[in-house]
Amino acid sequence: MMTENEKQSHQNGIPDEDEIGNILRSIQPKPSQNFHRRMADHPWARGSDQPRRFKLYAQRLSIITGVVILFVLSFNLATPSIDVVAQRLLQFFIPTIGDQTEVQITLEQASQPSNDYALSISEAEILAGFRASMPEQLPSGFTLSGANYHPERDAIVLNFVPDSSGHILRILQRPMSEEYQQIGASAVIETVQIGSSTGEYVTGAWTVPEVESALEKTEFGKTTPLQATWDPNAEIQMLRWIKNEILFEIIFGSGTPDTPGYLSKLDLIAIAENMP
Amino acid sequence: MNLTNKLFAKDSATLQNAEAFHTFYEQTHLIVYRYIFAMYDGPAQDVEDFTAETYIRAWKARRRFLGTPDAALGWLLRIARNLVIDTFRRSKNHGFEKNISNCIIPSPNTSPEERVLQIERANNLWHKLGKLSSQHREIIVLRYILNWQVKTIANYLDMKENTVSVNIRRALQRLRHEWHALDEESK
Repeated sequence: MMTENEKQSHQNGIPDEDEIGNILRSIQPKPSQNFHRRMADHPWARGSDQPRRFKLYAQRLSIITGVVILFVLSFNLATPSIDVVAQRLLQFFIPTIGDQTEVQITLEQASQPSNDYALSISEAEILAGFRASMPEQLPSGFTLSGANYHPERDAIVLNFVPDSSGHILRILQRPMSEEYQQIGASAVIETVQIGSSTGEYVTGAWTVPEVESALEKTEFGKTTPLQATWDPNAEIQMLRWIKNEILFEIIFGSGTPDTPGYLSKLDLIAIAENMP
Repeated sequence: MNLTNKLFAKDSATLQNAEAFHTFYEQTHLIVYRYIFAMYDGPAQDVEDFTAETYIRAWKARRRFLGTPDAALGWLLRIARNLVIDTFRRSKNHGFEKNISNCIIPSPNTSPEERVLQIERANNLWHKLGKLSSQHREIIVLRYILNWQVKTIANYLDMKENTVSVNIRRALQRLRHEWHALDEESK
């Protein structure tokens, strides 16, 4: 119950206590890119043997006939050369010179499911400092399992799970910048229309062949450099586009068109068009 | 701590090796940056310097730290607070120098006019934080800028929850009073 003074103040445009809380919550400063570059040179950032140019957050999806398919969440070329940018203006993917590259992978124990999406959307928004969009309509059977914030990409990732089958659907969003997803030289980049925007669609994934021998040398939970090969036939789909100065990326993983819950290119485009 | 419990749910390992410290840095640097940003009246460049310095000091002292991950965040914030307090004591210029217009998350479906008003109100309120006592200011920052629960703040400040709630209430009343005083002056 408001006191008379509070009622008077409210009428005078003085915010009440809840409004003050909301105003303060809306103030979410973030450090500059210079800060991140500077912090990358500190000892804890140099401590691992990872090449800093590329980073890959990988999760083991399946081991089939000796091949690990790496579900790409982040494999970004942070600063492509000016020539490359000029040639590939408004495009979202950059092919490597060949179909092989070194990646950093962290293998996770199958008995310990990843807890990477333990945040609510609002918690991820607080860390990111921008609001996340949710598709107005989700594909049948999919529900949001959680969100995460990836500081290195300044991105919020929403994770969706199907009620049956092992498909993975993730939607990443971040403020627009020159960020390119690296793909193999043999990948086919398809231009697609998403409402009034132009996006790009790619199928394929980086895989680690001869996985048994690689695993023998790799401790679970440790980050290890491995040679990855681009497999254009891997059942991973990526769709990237920009809307309202936000870069969006949908990743759909595993399964074939005949498995329940499988999402096709058109389904992914439909999700994209449903993003407000 | 509600948020930090989730952040650290997977790993309560020591901060002694570079990989663990790097993970800890990635999970906490925005929290530390925002804490310093809101506790310090000087320019944004200083805030980045203090944030960097906080982690450098923590890195140097990491082998002496044996607490839980929650305690590690509290430890970092205390390092940051000491840096801010030391600088405040040395500095002759105690005015607000930061422009927060670019730090404000737009309310959903706001028109350009409403956005301008939102920024104006946020700036107005932001400058009034400096009118609070350092304890009230810290409690407000923890509660609203870092979005901590009262219980978390009570643990961090070693206070009773009721005391924290009373202090939040008093600080909010003070902010409203300052707002009212400015309105009166401008009439």
